[in-house]
Amino acid sequence: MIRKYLLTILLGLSIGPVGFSQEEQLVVNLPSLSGKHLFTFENPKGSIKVTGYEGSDIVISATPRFPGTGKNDGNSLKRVDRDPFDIYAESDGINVTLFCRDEGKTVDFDIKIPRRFSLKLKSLDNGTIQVININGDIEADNSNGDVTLENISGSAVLNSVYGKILATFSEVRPDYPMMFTSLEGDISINLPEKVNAVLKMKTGTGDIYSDFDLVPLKRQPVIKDVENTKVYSLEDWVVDRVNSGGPEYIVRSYSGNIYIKKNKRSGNF
Amino acid sequence: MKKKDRKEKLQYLFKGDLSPDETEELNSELKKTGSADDEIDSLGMVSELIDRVSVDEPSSSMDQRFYEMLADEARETSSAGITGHRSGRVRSNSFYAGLRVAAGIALFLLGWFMQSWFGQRSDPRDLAKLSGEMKDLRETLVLTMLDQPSSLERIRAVNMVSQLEKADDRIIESLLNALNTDDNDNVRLLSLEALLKYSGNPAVRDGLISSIKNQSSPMIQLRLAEVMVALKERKAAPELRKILTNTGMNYTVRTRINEAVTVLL
Repeated sequence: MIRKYLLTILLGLSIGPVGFSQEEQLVVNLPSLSGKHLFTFENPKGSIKVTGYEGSDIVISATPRFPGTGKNDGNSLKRVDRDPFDIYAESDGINVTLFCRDEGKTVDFDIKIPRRFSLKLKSLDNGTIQVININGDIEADNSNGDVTLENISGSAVLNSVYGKILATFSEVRPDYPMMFTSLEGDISINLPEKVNAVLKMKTGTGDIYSDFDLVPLKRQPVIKDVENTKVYSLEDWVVDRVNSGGPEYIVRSYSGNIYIKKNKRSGNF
Repeated sequence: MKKKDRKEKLQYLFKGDLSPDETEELNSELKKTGSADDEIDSLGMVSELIDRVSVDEPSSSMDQRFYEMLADEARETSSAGITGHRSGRVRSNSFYAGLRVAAGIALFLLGWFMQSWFGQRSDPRDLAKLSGEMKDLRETLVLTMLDQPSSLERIRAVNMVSQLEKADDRIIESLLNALNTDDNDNVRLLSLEALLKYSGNPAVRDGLISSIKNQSSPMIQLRLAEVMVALKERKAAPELRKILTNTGMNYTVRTRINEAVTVLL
């Protein structure tokens, strides 16, 4: 089954002109848009931008960030660079996984995808992750860069080490927790004004800001066994209720600020 | 008429109210009809016995109740036509019969629920069994969710563990496994937070120490170092020192782990 679709994908691949400065495009045809779909991609080096649209195919555009120099061999012959990177996708009609072999080059991806799709994205180096207009669950991990979500209906689990996290939800999935973490970056979450959730937040050297009327909740006791002695304390998280409360949204940064803001043009599922 | 006269004379004969001549005359007539003397005597005795049977006289109160009932019935009859009265009575009867059936069913169901609810609750063994089954069910659900490919579901699972009063060995093992092998750093971090509640358990403490070498996320390394310092876990110092040999480590993280090692040694 996978092979069948893989063949379709490879046939849909349109190779650009010689040289790797050109954008290359891969189109993945989906037999049906019904059901819950998942798109997975781990970019070894470079950015990922995914935009939801009304079409039924996944249109993948890949562009090397640094064009080739076109070195010659000293005898007026130009070096011809072919296949500077390789991309291919596997699909079973529901789950689509994209692979990139970049040979150490930075390749940025701009992907158009049907709006109702869940995403699992990872950039290992030298890039940002940006997701726009998606109705689904988003898992994004970008150690070295920012993660930005715009106009999302669904849930998210986002992680960065050095980058900032900015997520704007037009709607959220009720009863589903979310989690946002960054070691050094600020975390800014824009939630629907009427969202019902419990925010569990902690930042080391940063501060927490919000325009919601947050209601502090009782912190849970923590009992630790320290050198044969029981130590009783309270959890060192800020735990607040938004509106009537609901699933836990965990927001954790070590040195960044945390911003929880109202997205006034939004609702709930 | 003659017959009637004879019947009346017979009644008087049995009561002894006839003159001797009338008695003689009647007996001779009876004999002429074929009646023997002993039969005539027997009839006399029966008549005497009937007279002896006492008959209760209706009391004045019985009379009063009877006349009151009669008056009520008369009022009802006058206030509604006979047909209307009857159909109303029929409707009323079927309505009340339906109500009785419904009430019966309701009482049966109520009784059944009371029995199944309070009956079970009243038995501490059943309550403990039910509670145990619920706990098993929750734990099975958590274990299943921890195996889901979606990190969102795994985060939900770890969240559920945090709400359990106590996690059994299977859950602890799954959390330690998630801390060591989950491909999502957030799931690892949340598993670590959930395990802290069980840090008194030697298996958990050893598991936390041995997981230090498996972590590449600076955030988890940092959190583990904080936890080891808070628990004053000296056995963690060598493990923390080992990861300091990683030259690519974040400067801030390196500094804090160095501080942790100094405290623990």
